[in-house]
Amino acid sequence: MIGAVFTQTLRTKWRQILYWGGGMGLMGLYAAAVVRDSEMLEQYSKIVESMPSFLLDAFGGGDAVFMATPEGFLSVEFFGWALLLFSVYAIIAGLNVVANEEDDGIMDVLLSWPIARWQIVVEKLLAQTVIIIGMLTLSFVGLLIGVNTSPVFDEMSVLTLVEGMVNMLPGTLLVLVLTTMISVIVRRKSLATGLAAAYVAASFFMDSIARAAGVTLLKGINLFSYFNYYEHVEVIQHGLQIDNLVIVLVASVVLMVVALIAFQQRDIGL
Amino acid sequence: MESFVIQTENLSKVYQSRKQSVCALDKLNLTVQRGEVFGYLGPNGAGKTTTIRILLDLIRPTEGRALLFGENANKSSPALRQRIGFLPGELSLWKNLTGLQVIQYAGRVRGHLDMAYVNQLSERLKFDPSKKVRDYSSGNKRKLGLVLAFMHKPELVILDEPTSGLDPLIQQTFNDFLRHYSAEGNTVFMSSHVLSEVQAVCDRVGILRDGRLKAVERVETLTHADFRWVTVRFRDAVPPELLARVPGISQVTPLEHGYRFRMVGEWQALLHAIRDCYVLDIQTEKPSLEEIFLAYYNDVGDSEMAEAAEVKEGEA
Repeated sequence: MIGAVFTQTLRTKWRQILYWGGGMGLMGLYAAAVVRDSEMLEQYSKIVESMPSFLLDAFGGGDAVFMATPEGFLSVEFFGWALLLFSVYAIIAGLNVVANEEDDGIMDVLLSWPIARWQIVVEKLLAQTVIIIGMLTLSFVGLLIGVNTSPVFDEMSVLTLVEGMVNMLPGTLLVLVLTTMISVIVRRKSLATGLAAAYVAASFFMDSIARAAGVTLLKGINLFSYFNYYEHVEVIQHGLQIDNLVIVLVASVVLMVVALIAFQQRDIGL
Repeated sequence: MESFVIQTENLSKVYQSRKQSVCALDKLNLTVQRGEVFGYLGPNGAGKTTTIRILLDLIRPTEGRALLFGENANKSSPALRQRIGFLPGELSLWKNLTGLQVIQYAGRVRGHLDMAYVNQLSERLKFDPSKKVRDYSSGNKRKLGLVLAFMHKPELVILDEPTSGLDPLIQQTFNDFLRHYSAEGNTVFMSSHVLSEVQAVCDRVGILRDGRLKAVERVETLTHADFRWVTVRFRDAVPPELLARVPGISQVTPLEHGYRFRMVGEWQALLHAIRDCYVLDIQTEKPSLEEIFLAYYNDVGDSEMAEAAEVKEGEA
């Protein structure tokens, strides 16, 4: 029946929203609440201004003045790291789509029930998407509480925070689908974990280095880094970059289609 | 209406790895009819599980095809699987769920759950579904697997070593259940090592070896094989050579006042050989299916060796 795997995945995995979303929410709360007065931000501003421009670029933006504002502070200290942490969850969740159940032999039982292979993958990915949205929402709540407890963020718009959160969704989904696809193709959990983690780490550092170095070749390679389309400072400063969101979402859909085709065609559990 | 519930046509499977390729199944042609209980026998690595996995579309054949209810098994049709129940040889389930939660999950995927029937099955198998899967013994996990395989009253049940780990009493209950189940027109395809179980419930058996189907026979045919064990008791001492010379007699074992031996064919030659002896008693025993099974393998093995020897002689 349509939706059975989706609801079962939500039933068994919803606690992840509390663990990961709660953890990220606490991180957001701390990042915002730690700034108690404008004097602290001025000190932060001085540190930022003293940074060489390439290092500033590596942190995601070149506007030192903006980065010394409350929004700029959050864009670096929370949004700069949050996608990386959500990506860790996305790798774990990606392994849960096919690899773990196949490795345990449970997939044999599940596939003997009246459900298509593609349906299992799609329903689990959709359930994980809902879980990730739940985590982002809980993180947002934590961040919002932090922002409201500090007078420094009085003028900060809630919409800006929402946009910052929404901006993390495509990148997280991309890692989720990429891990699923790799695990479907390579069939070995450890190898899939290693490859997905390597891509996340490489994307993060590639993006930082490419921004700092500004070399054309590196910028070309950086097109394959999902952090390249994250632009967290830009999003907090000017709003969502729709074209970036679309690129990452389309890439996610393409990877999902590859995963579905590979899973549909291959033997199970060998 | 489909002519066969299961039909395979030249079904072959070769497992490829970097170092070697292994032929697990070689041109298997097999048919199972509606209402049959078909036993699938063979030693480990013979290809039994490979056949079952192809039937369930968990793996794809290298060559040939498998049809279930006349439909190609590799279409992965959910409608087809609605008609099938399956118990794998090594059952793995979600450890954090209770037996009941797993049953309910299966019911949701199938779109229907008859709890009254599930309770009836559980009672019959003496299974408590309230515990978590991780807390079940291997026997209880097997019972849960059987409930999952039968809970939707499938027309075809595919069972890989169904009673391994079950206590003898439950095995007996399960065998009774299987007989009633097939009597209602349902089909059972089961692999087994337990030959007494096959003897008790199966209508026909297929014997698989090295990926090849060596024989398909009715169980009665096999159990009416033309060899038997004979025990003859004599009043006086009789030299073993007297029996060993008789055609059709082999494996002569001396007893206190006689001999036990394997005999093939008619009695006349034996009776003629012992005509001058004072016979106290003659007893005969039918061979067990296991003995027939082993004898069958030995015969095949012997003939293959003979063929190989002939080839070598020819080459020389």
